[in-house]
Parts: sequence; structure tokens; C-alpha cells
Amino acid sequence: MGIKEFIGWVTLKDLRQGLGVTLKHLRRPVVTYPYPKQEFLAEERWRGLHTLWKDENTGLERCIGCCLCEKICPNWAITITTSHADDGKKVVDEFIVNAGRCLYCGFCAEVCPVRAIRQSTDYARKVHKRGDIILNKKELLERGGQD
Amino acid sequence: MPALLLLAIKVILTVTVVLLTVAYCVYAERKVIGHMQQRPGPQFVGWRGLLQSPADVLKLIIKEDIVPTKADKFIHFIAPVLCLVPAVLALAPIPFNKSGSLLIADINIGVLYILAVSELGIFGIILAGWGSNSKYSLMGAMRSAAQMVSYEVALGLSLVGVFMMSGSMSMVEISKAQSGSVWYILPQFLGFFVYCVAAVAETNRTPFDLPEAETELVAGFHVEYSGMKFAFFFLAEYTNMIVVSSIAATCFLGGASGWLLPPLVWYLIKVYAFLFIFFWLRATFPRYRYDQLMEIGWKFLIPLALANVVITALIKAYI
Amino acid sequence: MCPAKVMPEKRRVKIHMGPQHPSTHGVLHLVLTLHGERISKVECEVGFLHRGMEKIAENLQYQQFLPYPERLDYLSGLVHPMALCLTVEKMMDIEVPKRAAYIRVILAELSRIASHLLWLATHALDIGAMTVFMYAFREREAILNIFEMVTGGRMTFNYFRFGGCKQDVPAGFVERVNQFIYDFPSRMQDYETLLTNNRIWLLRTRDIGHLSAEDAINYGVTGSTLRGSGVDYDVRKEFPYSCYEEFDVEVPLSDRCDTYGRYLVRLEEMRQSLRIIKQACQNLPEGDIIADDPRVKLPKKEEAFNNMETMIRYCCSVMEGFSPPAGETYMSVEAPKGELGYYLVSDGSPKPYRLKIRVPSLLNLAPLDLMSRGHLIADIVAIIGTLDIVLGDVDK
Ligand code: SF4
Ligand code: SF4
Repeated sequence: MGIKEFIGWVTLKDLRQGLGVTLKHLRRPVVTYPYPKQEFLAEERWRGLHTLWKDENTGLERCIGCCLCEKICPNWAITITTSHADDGKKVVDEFIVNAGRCLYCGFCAEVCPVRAIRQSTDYARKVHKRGDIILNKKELLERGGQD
Repeated sequence: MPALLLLAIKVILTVTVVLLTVAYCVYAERKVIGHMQQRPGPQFVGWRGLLQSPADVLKLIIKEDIVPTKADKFIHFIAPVLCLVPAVLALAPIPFNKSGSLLIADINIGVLYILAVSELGIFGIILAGWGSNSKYSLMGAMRSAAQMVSYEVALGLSLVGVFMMSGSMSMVEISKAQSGSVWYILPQFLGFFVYCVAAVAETNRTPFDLPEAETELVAGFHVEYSGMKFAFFFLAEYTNMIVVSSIAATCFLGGASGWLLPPLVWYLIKVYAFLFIFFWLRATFPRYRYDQLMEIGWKFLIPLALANVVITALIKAYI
Repeated sequence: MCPAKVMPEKRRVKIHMGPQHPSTHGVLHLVLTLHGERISKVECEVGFLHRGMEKIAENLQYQQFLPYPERLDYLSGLVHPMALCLTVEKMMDIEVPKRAAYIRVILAELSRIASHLLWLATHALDIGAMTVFMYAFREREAILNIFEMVTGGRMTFNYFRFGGCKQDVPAGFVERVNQFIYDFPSRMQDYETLLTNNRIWLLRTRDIGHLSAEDAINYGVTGSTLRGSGVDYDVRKEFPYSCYEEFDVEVPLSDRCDTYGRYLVRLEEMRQSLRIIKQACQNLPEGDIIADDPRVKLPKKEEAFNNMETMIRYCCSVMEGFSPPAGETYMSVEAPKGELGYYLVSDGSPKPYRLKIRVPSLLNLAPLDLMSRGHLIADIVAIIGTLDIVLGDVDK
């Protein structure tokens, strides 16, 4: 230990410097924000809760019932039931996303060929009953929009 | 009879004020440390979180009081009381103004009384550790006992210099002795330093907060306590902080003396400055280890305090 | 030297630390045999967070398994999928475009800084310095914001794909990273002032948890813990992957072999990571983001609807995935915690036959008993902290 370090040691240089850092920060602005009062704005790419979209011009559902999203889902969170209408067209009877099983990987939105299922920036879904966490087609369409 | 009534009023006043201070000490601590960490601290309950402390107290009162099945019920019950009562008793000889009219009892060995009484709090801690019948608690209690016993020596010795200079052990006399001359922090800077370190250790605060080191022993001796019993330990800790800050303000910073402002305000400013330093240290430093703490106490602080006594004695004798 | 060794068995105390304990970094269960406060033996019980990742992998198609690895080491979630991608790419002989490789490097190094920041935060908190914890989280927040901007998630990214990345980085990404590069050194100065020379920190970390180079190698310890014992081994240097050979970077070493040495190594590693990020941002090439290989690249959605062949291919690649050739591969990367290896056996089907993950944390935990014998109980939290484990990684 040199003489300089010794003087620093006796005069508690290291401790004083540390105290200086915290004192310096005392005057700095607060960096956190009060979460529930001030909303957290997710980025555009946020992979949040699912939505189903409709076509802009026709107002019909975009989903064609190809079931690719159901297949790719690693957690089997999506269940789709389809049937054939009288004119032979395929209709999507029910589209269920079990948000409790979903791991928000985003594959469903990625593979959907018609961009029918998408993920919103909704990051906080709160329900009072466990069953309510399962989203059906109606809810999904309500959450989505048209384009 | 009026004298007794006056005394009763004084006692009630002091205890109320101190307990309120304690409640807001917790708030202030959370605020100060929060801002040092660039976060706001409590802010939702009341204006700027000012009602946080009453809310906390309320919460602690209505919380369930859990007693472990294997605990020694009586000891488990008595320990928090034993911890808090000495801490409050130690407030008796603290003079909040110059004349001592706000004093509860002017004892001629005031400082000694405080040291002796507040040391009784250790019983509470040991019994809490013992009565909880948990290894973590016991370990915290053992650490605490060892720490407080050894730092008590340094704490007492660091004040000897002050006694020698003022020629008295009464808090009132000590603060009077300083009003004419300089504050004792200057001639007694060694003593002051030792006192400060020992006081932090004595109150189990960071960087000497091993008894309750939350990351090792979870909470040390009060890990098995909840509700009001836990609050008692909390109160005791903060009351102790106020007591040691008051001693420091009286013995080293001239007590209630100061210019312009009324003495009571000066006194409180000094005490609060000390409390702020407690918070500041807590925000900044890591924690010592148990054996290192003992080493600092016995190998460093006590010799330093003794040296201070010898130097003061020599100066007193020859100059 | 250590009195605990000569004490009779019956005077020892057993203490259970964890699985719910603030400083075991999750659900690690330690059974400490103590004499007084001195530790004579540490038994480590792991597996409370076991999720059977390797078994899950056997039941999913390759691309379906991609979101899972980042749940192993959730503190540096981008490095695990990167390793899996590299393994599969190596097996299928896919060349990743340079831009994708560079973006992977930037994100992986940011991950490393985030992981080290969290290590620093918890390590300091274990030793009692709570302010460093908050400061480190402040910087980590900046990194997570960048991740959120790029990948759409803060902890679970699912951004890397076999052959590249999911999509290109958004506009303004490089500026955000540059801002971070600009801010970070001064923030690190604060941590250093609070800790590096602080006498309490020195007392608590110097000569604690000694792990000699020989022991470290024998126990299979890797990463910063190994380099803190003076062994010059860094996968990024020894077996460069993902264009790491193109960056000018040093491997910090320390001969101290103790907690303080490892602390210094990790701090320096953050600086070196910052250097890599800087270089990668400066030279970020233009180009594709995913390899133009029909096995891994989905056709464009517009094309899929205009062309029958493309549509069939689109559906097939989603439904059936791809099948790497039968065989086995091992690929390792330098994760923030140590060497992370993926050993993949393929039988030519679209699901892995076997996927063995060599997680760094589990092996780094092995010398815990050796390192903590004879130390005090307060030291064990410092030692767990310095090993930098994350329980998701340990328990798989
Ligand atoms: S986000 Fe992933 S897990 Fe969730 S429904 Fe879509 S594919 Fe399934
Ligand atoms: S949402 Fe998209 S992928 Fe899923 S069934 Fe409908 S069209 Fe197919």
C-alpha cells in the first residue's frame, strides 16, 4: 500500500465516494413510473392478446379456416371448428384461443396466410373466473378490426 | 400532585412525539432511499404517500398474529415487549431544549442511564430468537447479542472523552458545557467517529445489519413474528435510532444550541440530520460479515476509543 | 485451517436454505451443515423448476420448439434460441445471411449485458448493497426496451428463426442501441464507485469462494466463472460462430480465483460486449434477414395466394416443418452464464429424436460445496451469487 492509498484508506476515500454517488442520485429525476396509474404503452410489435380481423371492403371475416395456426401452435391453444355451408364454402363455426395455455410465441399470427389472426398490444388481460380466460370467436372479432 | 401531572403530560407527549417520529422516520427512510435509487418511494396513500405510515400501522394491527407451534409461547410473547420498553425508557433523560424544561428526568448520570437501559433490549432480541424455536431466528439473535455487547463497549468508551471535557454525565450539563465553548465534535473528533460507527452497529443498521440480514438469515430474530409483535421490533429499532441520534446531538453537536432558530428546532434538526445519515448509509453500503464486524469492533474501534480517552486525559491534565 | 473439519458430528447443525429463500436466486434448495456459523458441508438439491424441456423438444417440430429454449435461461433469453438455431443450421448446412448474423450478435451481446447486470444487481443485493440493484435494473430496462422494440417481447422473444431472424429490425433500432452505448459507460462508473474499491465489498469478496483453475476445469465450469480462475477459454474466440471472428474483442481474465476476481471479469466483459455491439452497429450490412432456403423460409404471403405450388409449399412447410438429415450435431455458444451446448440427434423426421442441452448453470453449480467449505454462512450467498446461476437453466 502506497502512501497515497494509505491516506485514502484513513480518510475513508472509498466510502466517501460511494456516498457521493448516492447523494448525486438524490437530486436526479425519478426514472420509474407509477404503473397502474400511468399506462404502459407497448411497442408496435408487441405480441399480446389475439384478435381476429375482418376484411375492409366486404366486412366478412378474413379467416378462411385453413387451420394453419391451429397446427403450428406449440401449445395447442387454438381450437377451430369448421363446417361447409350450403353452397359448399367452408365456414369457421368456432374459433377458440385459450389464452391460459398460450405462450404468446406469435407463430399463429406469423403463419396465417391471410393475416386474419393478429396479436394486439393488449398485455394485461384480467378475468375473474378462470373460464373467462378462454376467448371465443365473437370476442376475438370484437377485439380486432377491419382492414 | 401538579408535579406528577406535569410529568405524566411530559411522558405522554414525549412518547407520542417519538412514536410519531418513528412512523414518519420509516416514511422518510423509504422516500430518501427511494430517491437515491431514482424511484419515488411511497406515493399513493395520501398526498405524496404521507399516509403510508398510518396505513402500515393499521395493517400491522389488524394482521393475524402467528405463533409457531413449536415456539415457547410465553417467551415469544414477552420478547417484543422487552425489546420496545427499554428503547422507550431510554428517552427519559434526553433534553430537547437548553434549559431542560422539556426533560422528563434530569438524572445526573443521564448518558450512563441511556446506555444501560437501551442495552436491556438485547434480552428481548435473544429471547425472541430463543422463543421462536427456529434456527434462523436463533442465529440472528446470537449475532445480535454478540454485536451489541461488543459495540456497547466502544460506544461507552467513545463518550468518555466527552464526560472528561464536560465533567458531567448529565445530558443537560453536557449540552450546557458546550454552549460557551466549541462543540465537542471538534476536540473529540476521534470519539465522534467511533461513536458514529458504534451507534450504527448498536442499532443494527446497514452496514452492520447482520442480525436481520435479509439475504442470509431472511430476517434474523424476528423472522417468526408477525402483526403487532413484529411492529414492536420495528418501533424499537427506530426508537433506538432516535436515541443514539439524540445522544450524538447532545454530546457532540452542542445539544439545542444554535443561532436564530429556537433551541427545540435546532435540536430536532441535528437529530434528523443524524437520521438522514442512517438512511444514506443504508442506501450506499454493502453489509459486513459477522466476523469482520467483530474484528472492527474489538481490534479497531475499542483501541481507537481508548486512545481517544488517553489523549483527552493528557490534554486535560497538562493544558 | 477450518475448525469445522475437526468438530464431532453431533455438534453440527443442519440448516435448510431454500427453496424459498431470497438469496438462492430461485428455487435452489441447499442443506447446509454448520458448525456455529461455519459451513462444513453443502448439499445441493435441484429440480424444483424442472419442466422437461428436452422431452418437450422430442414431441414438437423444430420450429415449434423455438419459443421454449428462451424459457430456460430467462435472463438472457436470446442466447438460448440462438444456440438452437445454430445447431439446426449446422446440421442442415444453412448459411445465415450476414445481416441476420450481425443482428443476432448485437442482440446476444445486449442479452449478455442484461444478464450480467442482473447478476451484478442480485450479487450486490445479496451482499447488502441495495442501491446497485436499482441502478443495474435501470440500465437493464433500457436493454429490455430495445428488445421489446425489436422482438415484441421483454423476456420471451421468439425472434430468431432457423436461417436468420423473424423480421428485420425496425427503423430507429441502431439509434436506440447507440444511445445505450453512449449512456452505459458512465452508469458503469457509478457501480464501480459504489463497489470496486469499497472496503466492505473488498472484505466480502476477496478470497471468498476460492476455485483454482484445475478444479474449475475438472468440474466442467465454464464462462466467466472459469475465466475468473484464469483459464482463457471463451467459445466466441475458440470456436467462432455467427461472425464473431470479425469483431475485435478481448477476453478478460483474472488470476485471483475468488469472488472479487469473477466480479472484475464480469464487469470487464460488459465493456467488451459493448465494444462488440459498437462494431456490429457500425458495420451492420444490408441484405436478407433470413436464408433463402426453401426448407426454412416461408414463401411470401401474397405469392402463396397467386400460385398453387407456392400455396402448397406454404401449407406444407407450416404443417410438416422441415426434416434435417439423419445424424447428430453438437454446437455450443458462449452464453452469459457459460458454455451452452445443444446436442441434437435427428432421425430424419421433422421432430428431433433427442435434444440434449448442456446448460451452463447446472455445471457451474457443481463446485459449490468445494468453494464454500470452511466459509461462514454469510459467504454462501456471495458464492451462489458469484456462480451466476439461474434456476430455469439449472433445472431445465
Ligand atoms: S401465440 Fe403461440 S401459443 Fe399462443 S395461440 Fe398463437 S401459436 Fe399458440
Ligand atoms: S386465422 Fe389464419 S391461419 Fe388460422 S385458420 Fe384462420 S386463416 Fe387459417
